[in-house]
Amino acid sequence: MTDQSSGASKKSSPALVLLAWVVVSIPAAWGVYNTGLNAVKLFTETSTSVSGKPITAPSK
Amino acid sequence: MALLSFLDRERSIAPPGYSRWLVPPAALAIHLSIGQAYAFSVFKIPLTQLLGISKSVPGDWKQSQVAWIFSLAIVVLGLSAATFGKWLEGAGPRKAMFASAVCFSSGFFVSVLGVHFHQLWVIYLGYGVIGGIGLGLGYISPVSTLIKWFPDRPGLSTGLAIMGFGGGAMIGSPLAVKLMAYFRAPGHVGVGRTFLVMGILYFVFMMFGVFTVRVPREGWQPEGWIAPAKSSAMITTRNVEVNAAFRTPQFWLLWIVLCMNVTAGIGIIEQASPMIQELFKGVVKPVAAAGFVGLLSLFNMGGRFFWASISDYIGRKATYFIFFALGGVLYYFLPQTGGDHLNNVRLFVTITCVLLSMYGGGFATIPAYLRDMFGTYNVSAIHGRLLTAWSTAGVLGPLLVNQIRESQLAQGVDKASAYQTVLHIMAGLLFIGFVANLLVRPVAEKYWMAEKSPAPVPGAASTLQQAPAR
Repeated sequence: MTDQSSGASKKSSPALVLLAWVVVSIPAAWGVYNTGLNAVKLFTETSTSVSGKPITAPSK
Repeated sequence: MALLSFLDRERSIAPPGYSRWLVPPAALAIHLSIGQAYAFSVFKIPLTQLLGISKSVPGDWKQSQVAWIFSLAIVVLGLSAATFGKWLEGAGPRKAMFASAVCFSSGFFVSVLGVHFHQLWVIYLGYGVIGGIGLGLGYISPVSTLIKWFPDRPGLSTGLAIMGFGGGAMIGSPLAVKLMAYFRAPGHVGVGRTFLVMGILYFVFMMFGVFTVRVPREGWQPEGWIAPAKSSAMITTRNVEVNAAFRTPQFWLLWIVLCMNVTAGIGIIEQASPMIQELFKGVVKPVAAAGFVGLLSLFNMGGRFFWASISDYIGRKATYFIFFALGGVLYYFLPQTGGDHLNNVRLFVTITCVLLSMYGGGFATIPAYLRDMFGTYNVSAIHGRLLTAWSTAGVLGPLLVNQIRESQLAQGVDKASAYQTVLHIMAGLLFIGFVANLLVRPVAEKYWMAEKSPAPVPGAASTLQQAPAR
Protein backbone atom coordinates (compact mmCIF):
# COMPACT_ATOMS: atom_id res chain seq x y z
CA MET A 1 0.00 0.00 0.00
CA THR A 2 2.44 2.60 -1.21
CA ASP A 3 2.08 5.43 -3.69
CA GLN A 4 2.64 4.69 -7.28
CA SER A 5 5.29 7.32 -8.01
CA SER A 6 8.67 6.07 -9.02
CA GLY A 7 11.71 6.68 -6.92
CA ALA A 8 12.86 5.44 -3.61
CA SER A 9 10.19 5.20 -0.97
CA LYS A 10 10.66 4.17 2.62
CA LYS A 11 7.76 1.94 3.62
CA SER A 12 6.24 2.40 7.04
CA SER A 13 7.51 -0.18 9.49
CA PRO A 14 4.93 -2.93 10.12
CA ALA A 15 5.87 -2.69 13.78
CA LEU A 16 4.92 0.99 13.76
CA VAL A 17 1.58 0.21 12.16
CA LEU A 18 0.96 -2.51 14.71
CA LEU A 19 1.92 -0.17 17.55
CA ALA A 20 -0.50 2.46 16.32
CA TRP A 21 -3.33 -0.06 16.33
CA VAL A 22 -2.34 -1.32 19.78
CA VAL A 23 -2.44 2.22 21.16
CA VAL A 24 -6.09 2.66 20.18
CA SER A 25 -7.14 -0.97 20.66
CA ILE A 26 -6.18 -1.20 24.32
CA PRO A 27 -8.62 1.44 25.62
CA ALA A 28 -11.25 0.27 23.14
CA ALA A 29 -10.87 -3.32 24.31
CA TRP A 30 -11.08 -2.21 27.94
CA GLY A 31 -14.30 -0.38 27.18
CA VAL A 32 -15.78 -3.33 25.30
CA TYR A 33 -14.74 -5.68 28.13
CA ASN A 34 -16.46 -3.53 30.78
CA THR A 35 -19.55 -3.24 28.63
CA GLY A 36 -19.56 -6.95 27.98
CA LEU A 37 -19.39 -7.67 31.72
CA ASN A 38 -22.44 -5.45 32.17
CA ALA A 39 -24.26 -7.01 29.21
CA VAL A 40 -23.87 -10.51 30.67
CA LYS A 41 -26.14 -9.44 33.52
CA LEU A 42 -29.04 -9.54 31.08
CA PHE A 43 -28.59 -13.29 30.92
CA THR A 44 -27.63 -13.94 34.53
CA GLU A 45 -30.04 -11.59 36.31
CA THR A 46 -33.19 -12.39 34.35
CA SER A 47 -35.74 -14.46 36.29
CA THR A 48 -35.99 -17.16 33.66
CA SER A 49 -33.60 -18.25 31.00
CA VAL A 50 -33.37 -16.15 27.86
CA SER A 51 -31.95 -19.09 25.96
CA GLY A 52 -35.12 -19.42 23.96
CA LYS A 53 -37.14 -21.59 26.25
CA PRO A 54 -40.73 -20.42 26.37
CA ILE A 55 -41.53 -18.21 29.29
CA THR A 56 -44.92 -18.74 30.79
CA ALA A 57 -46.98 -15.59 30.63
CA PRO A 58 -47.88 -14.41 34.12
CA SER A 59 -51.54 -14.84 34.91
CA LYS A 60 -53.43 -11.55 34.80
CA MET B 1 5.23 29.87 15.57
CA ALA B 2 6.70 26.45 14.88
CA LEU B 3 3.77 24.66 16.50
CA LEU B 4 1.21 26.45 14.39
CA SER B 5 3.10 25.77 11.17
CA PHE B 6 3.40 22.09 12.18
CA LEU B 7 -0.36 21.94 12.08
CA ASP B 8 -0.54 23.21 8.49
CA ARG B 9 -1.90 20.85 5.91
CA GLU B 10 1.28 21.02 3.84
CA ARG B 11 3.28 19.74 6.80
CA SER B 12 1.03 16.70 7.12
CA ILE B 13 1.41 15.37 3.57
CA ALA B 14 2.52 11.75 3.79
CA PRO B 15 6.01 10.88 2.52
CA PRO B 16 6.31 8.12 -0.10
CA GLY B 17 5.80 4.70 1.43
CA TYR B 18 3.62 5.93 4.29
CA SER B 19 1.18 3.18 5.20
CA ARG B 20 -2.43 4.19 4.89
CA TRP B 21 -3.19 1.79 7.77
CA LEU B 22 -1.66 4.35 10.14
CA VAL B 23 -4.50 6.74 9.41
CA PRO B 24 -7.49 4.84 10.91
CA PRO B 25 -5.78 4.68 14.34
CA ALA B 26 -5.35 8.46 14.18
CA ALA B 27 -9.05 8.83 13.45
CA LEU B 28 -9.95 6.33 16.17
CA ALA B 29 -7.93 8.29 18.73
CA ILE B 30 -10.19 11.25 18.06
CA HIS B 31 -13.49 9.39 17.90
CA LEU B 32 -12.80 7.15 20.90
CA SER B 33 -12.24 10.36 22.85
CA ILE B 34 -15.17 12.49 21.73
CA GLY B 35 -17.46 9.48 21.93
CA GLN B 36 -17.27 10.04 25.70
CA ALA B 37 -20.17 12.45 25.17
CA TYR B 38 -22.60 9.55 25.06
CA ALA B 39 -21.45 8.49 28.51
CA PHE B 40 -22.13 11.88 30.06
CA SER B 41 -25.20 10.48 31.81
CA VAL B 42 -22.93 8.92 34.47
CA PHE B 43 -22.40 12.46 35.78
CA LYS B 44 -26.11 13.20 35.96
CA ILE B 45 -26.80 12.08 39.52
CA PRO B 46 -23.45 13.21 41.00
CA LEU B 47 -24.01 16.69 39.55
CA THR B 48 -27.35 16.85 41.35
CA GLN B 49 -25.64 16.05 44.67
CA LEU B 50 -22.72 18.48 44.71
CA LEU B 51 -24.07 20.17 47.82
CA GLY B 52 -25.80 17.25 49.52
CA ILE B 53 -23.00 14.79 48.60
CA SER B 54 -24.96 11.61 49.33
CA LYS B 55 -28.31 13.02 48.25
CA SER B 56 -29.82 16.10 46.62
CA VAL B 57 -30.59 18.95 48.96
CA PRO B 58 -32.24 22.35 48.40
CA GLY B 59 -29.90 24.35 46.22
CA ASP B 60 -28.64 21.33 44.31
CA TRP B 61 -29.28 21.24 40.57
CA LYS B 62 -32.18 19.14 39.28
CA GLN B 63 -31.74 16.30 36.78
CA SER B 64 -33.84 18.16 34.22
CA GLN B 65 -31.37 21.07 34.41
CA VAL B 66 -28.31 18.83 34.19
CA ALA B 67 -29.81 16.95 31.22
CA TRP B 68 -29.41 20.10 29.13
CA ILE B 69 -25.63 19.80 29.26
CA PHE B 70 -25.61 16.79 26.95
CA SER B 71 -28.39 18.12 24.72
CA LEU B 72 -26.51 21.39 24.30
CA ALA B 73 -23.32 19.56 23.40
CA ILE B 74 -25.05 17.54 20.70
CA VAL B 75 -26.76 20.61 19.23
CA VAL B 76 -23.45 22.48 19.18
CA LEU B 77 -21.83 19.38 17.63
CA GLY B 78 -24.11 19.66 14.63
CA LEU B 79 -23.87 23.42 14.34
CA SER B 80 -20.10 23.52 14.63
CA ALA B 81 -19.66 20.67 12.15
CA ALA B 82 -21.81 22.64 9.72
CA THR B 83 -20.03 25.92 10.43
CA PHE B 84 -16.41 24.75 10.38
CA GLY B 85 -16.66 21.99 7.77
CA LYS B 86 -15.48 24.19 4.93
CA TRP B 87 -12.64 25.63 7.01
CA LEU B 88 -11.54 22.10 7.81
CA GLU B 89 -11.24 21.14 4.14
CA GLY B 90 -8.62 23.84 3.65
CA ALA B 91 -6.97 23.64 7.05
CA GLY B 92 -6.44 19.88 6.89
CA PRO B 93 -7.13 17.12 9.40
CA ARG B 94 -4.15 17.79 11.66
CA LYS B 95 -5.17 21.35 12.46
CA ALA B 96 -8.81 20.32 12.81
CA MET B 97 -7.96 17.45 15.15
CA PHE B 98 -5.77 19.75 17.24
CA ALA B 99 -8.55 22.32 17.49
CA SER B 100 -10.94 19.53 18.46
CA ALA B 101 -8.59 18.32 21.18
CA VAL B 102 -8.14 21.82 22.58
CA CYS B 103 -11.87 22.52 22.62
CA PHE B 104 -12.96 19.11 23.92
CA SER B 105 -10.48 19.07 26.80
CA SER B 106 -11.06 22.76 27.55
CA GLY B 107 -14.73 21.93 27.89
CA PHE B 108 -13.81 19.67 30.79
CA PHE B 109 -11.45 22.24 32.34
CA VAL B 110 -14.05 25.01 32.23
CA SER B 111 -16.59 22.59 33.73
CA VAL B 112 -14.23 22.06 36.68
CA LEU B 113 -14.79 25.73 37.49
CA GLY B 114 -18.53 25.26 37.16
CA VAL B 115 -18.42 22.46 39.70
CA HIS B 116 -16.11 24.34 42.05
CA PHE B 117 -18.20 27.52 42.10
CA HIS B 118 -21.49 25.61 41.71
CA GLN B 119 -22.50 27.58 38.61
CA LEU B 120 -24.40 25.43 36.12
CA TRP B 121 -24.15 28.01 33.33
CA VAL B 122 -20.38 27.59 33.43
CA ILE B 123 -20.80 23.87 32.71
CA TYR B 124 -23.27 24.68 29.93
CA LEU B 125 -20.58 26.95 28.46
CA GLY B 126 -17.76 24.50 29.14
CA TYR B 127 -18.91 21.01 28.26
CA GLY B 128 -21.94 22.13 26.29
CA VAL B 129 -20.58 24.84 24.04
CA ILE B 130 -16.78 24.61 24.03
CA GLY B 131 -16.84 20.85 24.35
CA GLY B 132 -19.58 20.67 21.74
CA ILE B 133 -17.37 22.53 19.27
CA GLY B 134 -14.68 19.97 19.98
CA LEU B 135 -17.20 17.21 19.26
CA GLY B 136 -18.23 18.72 15.93
CA LEU B 137 -14.68 19.36 14.72
CA GLY B 138 -13.47 15.98 15.86
CA TYR B 139 -16.35 14.07 14.32
CA ILE B 140 -15.77 15.30 10.78
CA SER B 141 -12.03 15.84 10.95
CA PRO B 142 -10.90 12.44 9.64
CA VAL B 143 -13.68 11.72 7.14
CA SER B 144 -12.41 13.16 3.89
CA THR B 145 -8.84 12.09 4.73
CA LEU B 146 -9.93 8.49 5.21
CA ILE B 147 -11.92 8.52 1.99
CA LYS B 148 -8.86 9.79 0.11
CA TRP B 149 -6.64 7.09 1.60
CA PHE B 150 -9.20 4.35 0.96
CA PRO B 151 -10.89 5.11 -2.38
CA ASP B 152 -11.41 1.36 -2.75
CA ARG B 153 -13.11 1.00 0.65
CA PRO B 154 -14.63 4.31 1.73
CA GLY B 155 -17.33 2.58 3.77
CA LEU B 156 -14.91 0.42 5.71
CA SER B 157 -12.51 3.25 6.46
CA THR B 158 -15.07 5.77 7.66
CA GLY B 159 -16.95 2.99 9.42
CA LEU B 160 -13.82 2.27 11.46
CA ALA B 161 -13.57 5.87 12.61
CA ILE B 162 -17.23 6.33 13.39
CA MET B 163 -17.28 2.98 15.18
CA GLY B 164 -14.85 4.69 17.51
CA PHE B 165 -17.49 7.20 18.48
CA GLY B 166 -19.68 4.35 19.68
CA GLY B 167 -16.72 2.83 21.49
CA GLY B 168 -15.93 6.13 23.18
CA ALA B 169 -18.96 5.86 25.41
CA MET B 170 -17.84 2.40 26.50
CA ILE B 171 -14.52 3.86 27.63
CA GLY B 172 -15.90 7.07 29.08
CA SER B 173 -18.52 5.46 31.28
CA PRO B 174 -16.37 3.09 33.39
CA LEU B 175 -13.51 5.61 33.35
CA ALA B 176 -15.74 8.30 34.86
CA VAL B 177 -17.25 5.91 37.41
CA LYS B 178 -13.84 4.69 38.57
CA LEU B 179 -12.38 8.19 38.74
CA MET B 180 -15.34 9.54 40.71
CA ALA B 181 -15.05 6.63 43.15
CA TYR B 182 -11.31 7.36 43.52
CA PHE B 183 -11.75 11.09 44.08
CA ARG B 184 -14.81 10.85 46.28
CA ALA B 185 -14.05 12.27 49.71
CA PRO B 186 -15.93 13.81 52.63
CA GLY B 187 -17.56 16.91 51.21
CA HIS B 188 -16.75 16.03 47.58
CA VAL B 189 -18.55 13.77 45.14
CA GLY B 190 -15.39 13.70 43.02
CA VAL B 191 -16.83 15.17 39.83
CA GLY B 192 -14.53 18.20 39.61
CA ARG B 193 -11.29 16.24 39.77
CA THR B 194 -12.74 13.62 37.45
CA PHE B 195 -13.40 16.33 34.85
CA LEU B 196 -9.84 17.58 35.28
CA VAL B 197 -8.23 14.17 34.83
CA MET B 198 -10.48 13.24 31.91
CA GLY B 199 -9.67 16.52 30.18
CA ILE B 200 -5.95 15.79 30.48
CA LEU B 201 -6.25 12.14 29.44
CA TYR B 202 -8.36 12.91 26.39
CA PHE B 203 -6.07 15.74 25.29
CA VAL B 204 -3.04 13.45 25.40
CA PHE B 205 -4.84 10.64 23.58
CA MET B 206 -6.13 12.98 20.88
CA MET B 207 -2.60 14.31 20.36
CA PHE B 208 -1.69 10.80 19.22
CA GLY B 209 -4.19 11.31 16.43
CA VAL B 210 -2.84 14.78 15.66
CA PHE B 211 0.73 13.54 15.32
CA THR B 212 -0.13 10.37 13.41
CA VAL B 213 -2.56 11.66 10.80
CA ARG B 214 -1.32 12.33 7.29
CA VAL B 215 -2.99 13.33 4.04
CA PRO B 216 -2.08 11.52 0.81
CA ARG B 217 -0.16 13.36 -1.86
CA GLU B 218 -1.99 14.70 -4.91
CA GLY B 219 -2.84 11.86 -7.24
CA TRP B 220 -2.01 9.10 -4.75
CA GLN B 221 -3.76 5.78 -5.21
CA PRO B 222 -3.42 2.48 -3.36
CA GLU B 223 -0.79 0.23 -4.89
CA GLY B 224 -2.29 -2.10 -7.42
CA TRP B 225 -5.69 -0.45 -7.31
CA ILE B 226 -7.23 0.46 -10.61
CA ALA B 227 -10.24 2.70 -10.58
CA PRO B 228 -13.25 0.80 -11.96
CA ALA B 229 -13.53 1.20 -15.72
CA LYS B 230 -17.29 1.40 -15.59
CA SER B 231 -18.77 3.52 -12.91
CA SER B 232 -22.11 3.13 -11.28
CA ALA B 233 -24.48 5.99 -11.92
CA MET B 234 -24.80 6.33 -8.16
CA ILE B 235 -21.04 6.86 -7.67
CA THR B 236 -19.96 10.17 -9.12
CA THR B 237 -16.60 10.82 -10.77
CA ARG B 238 -17.08 14.56 -10.36
CA ASN B 239 -17.05 16.88 -7.38
CA VAL B 240 -19.62 19.25 -5.96
CA GLU B 241 -18.64 22.23 -3.85
CA VAL B 242 -20.31 22.43 -0.44
CA ASN B 243 -22.47 25.50 -1.13
CA ALA B 244 -23.68 23.93 -4.36
CA ALA B 245 -24.36 20.63 -2.61
CA PHE B 246 -26.48 22.48 -0.09
CA ARG B 247 -28.81 23.51 -2.93
CA THR B 248 -29.28 20.03 -4.37
CA PRO B 249 -32.35 17.90 -3.61
CA GLN B 250 -29.97 15.00 -2.92
CA PHE B 251 -28.48 16.79 0.11
CA TRP B 252 -31.89 17.31 1.65
CA LEU B 253 -33.05 13.80 0.86
CA LEU B 254 -29.98 12.44 2.64
CA TRP B 255 -30.65 14.86 5.47
CA ILE B 256 -34.08 13.27 5.87
CA VAL B 257 -32.53 9.81 5.59
CA LEU B 258 -30.11 10.48 8.45
CA CYS B 259 -32.66 12.34 10.58
CA MET B 260 -35.28 9.58 10.32
CA ASN B 261 -32.78 6.79 10.97
CA VAL B 262 -31.39 8.53 14.05
CA THR B 263 -34.79 9.56 15.42
CA ALA B 264 -36.06 5.99 15.18
CA GLY B 265 -32.97 4.67 16.95
CA ILE B 266 -33.47 7.16 19.73
CA GLY B 267 -36.93 5.65 20.12
CA ILE B 268 -35.18 2.55 21.46
CA ILE B 269 -32.21 4.13 23.23
CA GLU B 270 -34.29 6.69 25.11
CA GLN B 271 -36.43 4.04 26.78
CA ALA B 272 -34.51 0.77 26.48
CA SER B 273 -34.20 0.03 30.21
CA PRO B 274 -37.76 0.82 31.32
CA MET B 275 -39.21 -0.73 28.14
CA ILE B 276 -37.72 -4.19 28.66
CA GLN B 277 -38.69 -4.13 32.34
CA GLU B 278 -42.28 -3.15 31.62
CA LEU B 279 -42.79 -5.42 28.62
CA PHE B 280 -41.48 -8.34 30.67
CA LYS B 281 -42.70 -7.36 34.11
CA GLY B 282 -41.28 -9.51 36.85
CA VAL B 283 -38.95 -11.31 34.46
CA VAL B 284 -36.36 -8.64 33.64
CA LYS B 285 -35.14 -6.74 36.68
CA PRO B 286 -33.25 -3.40 36.75
CA VAL B 287 -29.80 -5.00 36.87
CA ALA B 288 -30.62 -7.14 33.83
CA ALA B 289 -32.09 -4.10 32.11
CA ALA B 290 -28.79 -2.28 32.60
CA GLY B 291 -27.10 -5.24 30.98
CA PHE B 292 -29.52 -4.94 28.09
CA VAL B 293 -28.47 -1.31 27.60
CA GLY B 294 -24.85 -2.42 27.53
CA LEU B 295 -25.64 -5.08 24.93
CA LEU B 296 -27.36 -2.48 22.76
CA SER B 297 -24.29 -0.26 22.87
CA LEU B 298 -22.12 -3.16 21.70
CA PHE B 299 -24.39 -3.71 18.71
CA ASN B 300 -24.52 0.04 18.05
CA MET B 301 -20.73 0.05 17.86
CA GLY B 302 -20.42 -3.15 15.86
CA GLY B 303 -23.14 -2.09 13.44
CA ARG B 304 -21.18 1.03 12.52
CA PHE B 305 -18.30 -1.04 11.20
CA PHE B 306 -20.39 -3.91 9.83
CA TRP B 307 -22.95 -2.00 7.81
CA ALA B 308 -20.52 0.62 6.52
CA SER B 309 -18.19 -2.16 5.32
CA ILE B 310 -21.07 -4.08 3.74
CA SER B 311 -22.09 -0.94 1.87
CA ASP B 312 -18.80 -1.09 -0.07
CA TYR B 313 -20.15 -4.27 -1.67
CA ILE B 314 -23.89 -3.75 -1.96
CA GLY B 315 -23.96 0.04 -2.36
CA ARG B 316 -25.11 2.82 -0.03
CA LYS B 317 -28.64 3.12 -1.33
CA ALA B 318 -29.24 -0.61 -0.90
CA THR B 319 -27.77 -0.49 2.60
CA TYR B 320 -30.20 2.22 3.65
CA PHE B 321 -33.05 0.32 2.01
CA ILE B 322 -32.25 -2.52 4.38
CA PHE B 323 -32.26 -0.13 7.34
CA PHE B 324 -35.62 1.32 6.45
CA ALA B 325 -37.42 -1.75 5.11
CA LEU B 326 -36.18 -4.31 7.61
CA GLY B 327 -36.09 -1.73 10.38
CA GLY B 328 -39.65 -0.65 9.71
CA VAL B 329 -40.92 -4.22 9.89
CA LEU B 330 -38.97 -4.93 13.06
CA TYR B 331 -40.14 -1.76 14.82
CA TYR B 332 -43.73 -2.62 13.94
CA PHE B 333 -43.38 -6.18 15.13
CA LEU B 334 -41.33 -5.47 18.29
CA PRO B 335 -44.27 -4.82 20.65
CA GLN B 336 -45.61 -8.27 19.79
CA THR B 337 -42.67 -9.89 21.54
CA GLY B 338 -43.77 -8.48 24.91
CA GLY B 339 -45.22 -10.30 27.88
CA ASP B 340 -48.84 -9.89 26.77
CA HIS B 341 -48.21 -11.45 23.36
CA LEU B 342 -45.34 -13.76 22.35
CA ASN B 343 -43.65 -13.19 25.72
CA ASN B 344 -40.20 -13.94 24.31
CA VAL B 345 -37.31 -12.00 25.85
CA ARG B 346 -34.76 -13.55 23.50
CA LEU B 347 -36.70 -12.43 20.42
CA PHE B 348 -37.15 -8.93 21.86
CA VAL B 349 -33.43 -8.64 22.59
CA THR B 350 -32.46 -9.98 19.16
CA ILE B 351 -34.71 -7.54 17.34
CA THR B 352 -33.56 -4.52 19.33
CA CYS B 353 -29.92 -5.46 18.81
CA VAL B 354 -30.46 -5.63 15.05
CA LEU B 355 -32.26 -2.27 15.16
CA LEU B 356 -29.44 -0.64 17.12
CA SER B 357 -26.85 -2.06 14.73
CA MET B 358 -28.70 -0.31 11.92
CA TYR B 359 -28.88 2.89 13.96
CA GLY B 360 -25.10 2.86 14.22
CA GLY B 361 -24.78 1.76 10.61
CA GLY B 362 -26.76 4.79 9.49
CA PHE B 363 -24.20 7.14 11.05
CA ALA B 364 -21.22 5.26 9.70
CA THR B 365 -22.42 4.78 6.13
CA ILE B 366 -23.52 8.35 5.44
CA PRO B 367 -20.01 9.77 4.74
CA ALA B 368 -19.44 7.20 2.01
CA TYR B 369 -22.93 7.95 0.62
CA LEU B 370 -22.00 11.64 0.49
CA ARG B 371 -18.75 10.77 -1.26
CA ASP B 372 -20.69 8.76 -3.84
CA MET B 373 -23.08 11.64 -4.46
CA PHE B 374 -20.81 14.67 -4.23
CA GLY B 375 -17.25 13.43 -4.71
CA THR B 376 -14.33 13.80 -2.30
CA TYR B 377 -13.45 17.49 -2.69
CA ASN B 378 -15.74 18.90 0.02
CA VAL B 379 -17.06 15.70 1.59
CA SER B 380 -16.13 16.74 5.14
CA ALA B 381 -17.80 20.12 4.75
CA ILE B 382 -20.93 18.54 3.29
CA HIS B 383 -20.90 15.91 6.03
CA GLY B 384 -20.64 18.69 8.59
CA ARG B 385 -23.75 20.39 7.28
CA LEU B 386 -25.61 17.11 7.12
CA LEU B 387 -24.94 16.51 10.81
CA THR B 388 -27.55 19.15 11.62
CA ALA B 389 -29.89 16.23 10.95
CA TRP B 390 -28.35 14.49 13.95
CA SER B 391 -28.78 17.58 16.12
CA THR B 392 -32.40 17.80 15.03
CA ALA B 393 -33.00 14.13 15.75
CA GLY B 394 -31.25 14.50 19.10
CA VAL B 395 -33.90 16.99 20.16
CA LEU B 396 -36.85 15.65 18.13
CA GLY B 397 -36.37 12.02 19.11
CA PRO B 398 -36.60 12.29 22.89
CA LEU B 399 -39.30 14.96 22.59
CA LEU B 400 -41.42 12.72 20.36
CA VAL B 401 -40.90 9.63 22.48
CA ASN B 402 -41.63 11.32 25.78
CA GLN B 403 -44.59 13.39 24.55
CA ILE B 404 -46.28 10.42 22.88
CA ARG B 405 -45.72 8.23 25.90
CA GLU B 406 -47.06 10.82 28.35
CA SER B 407 -50.05 11.42 26.13
CA GLN B 408 -50.81 7.70 26.01
CA LEU B 409 -50.47 7.29 29.76
CA ALA B 410 -52.70 10.32 30.35
CA GLN B 411 -55.38 8.62 28.26
CA GLY B 412 -55.26 5.62 30.53
CA VAL B 413 -53.25 3.34 28.25
CA ASP B 414 -51.16 0.87 30.25
CA LYS B 415 -47.39 1.25 30.20
CA ALA B 416 -46.69 -1.79 28.05
CA SER B 417 -49.21 -0.74 25.40
CA ALA B 418 -47.90 2.84 25.38
CA TYR B 419 -44.62 1.57 23.95
CA GLN B 420 -46.51 0.07 21.01
CA THR B 421 -47.68 3.48 19.81
CA VAL B 422 -44.18 4.93 20.05
CA LEU B 423 -42.62 2.02 18.18
CA HIS B 424 -45.27 2.11 15.48
CA ILE B 425 -44.61 5.82 14.98
CA MET B 426 -40.90 5.06 14.71
CA ALA B 427 -41.80 2.54 11.99
CA GLY B 428 -43.67 5.34 10.25
CA LEU B 429 -40.60 7.58 10.41
CA LEU B 430 -38.57 4.85 8.79
CA PHE B 431 -41.12 4.71 5.98
CA ILE B 432 -40.47 8.42 5.39
CA GLY B 433 -36.75 7.65 5.31
CA PHE B 434 -37.41 4.81 2.85
CA VAL B 435 -39.16 7.16 0.45
CA ALA B 436 -36.43 9.78 0.77
CA ASN B 437 -33.77 7.17 0.02
CA LEU B 438 -35.80 5.91 -2.93
CA LEU B 439 -35.85 9.40 -4.42
CA VAL B 440 -32.05 9.82 -4.32
CA ARG B 441 -30.66 10.12 -7.86
CA PRO B 442 -27.30 11.18 -9.27
CA VAL B 443 -26.59 14.87 -8.84
CA ALA B 444 -27.36 16.99 -11.91
CA GLU B 445 -24.46 18.28 -14.03
CA LYS B 446 -25.24 21.90 -13.28
CA TYR B 447 -23.95 21.41 -9.72
CA TRP B 448 -20.61 19.88 -10.73
CA MET B 449 -17.39 21.76 -10.25
CA ALA B 450 -15.38 22.57 -13.37
CA GLU B 451 -12.75 19.92 -14.14
CA LYS B 452 -9.83 22.23 -13.37
CA SER B 453 -9.05 23.11 -9.77
CA PRO B 454 -10.67 26.29 -8.52
CA ALA B 455 -8.53 29.03 -6.95
CA PRO B 456 -6.70 27.37 -4.07
CA VAL B 457 -7.85 28.03 -0.54
CA PRO B 458 -5.32 30.44 1.03
CA GLY B 459 -2.67 28.58 2.93
CA ALA B 460 -3.72 25.13 1.77
CA ALA B 461 -2.94 22.89 -1.16
CA SER B 462 -5.77 22.00 -3.47
CA THR B 463 -7.62 18.91 -2.33
CA LEU B 464 -9.34 18.40 -5.66
CA GLN B 465 -8.53 15.02 -7.11
CA GLN B 466 -8.47 14.51 -10.85
CA ALA B 467 -11.36 12.32 -11.91
CA PRO B 468 -9.96 8.92 -12.81
CA ALA B 469 -10.10 7.95 -16.48
CA ARG B 470 -13.18 5.87 -17.19
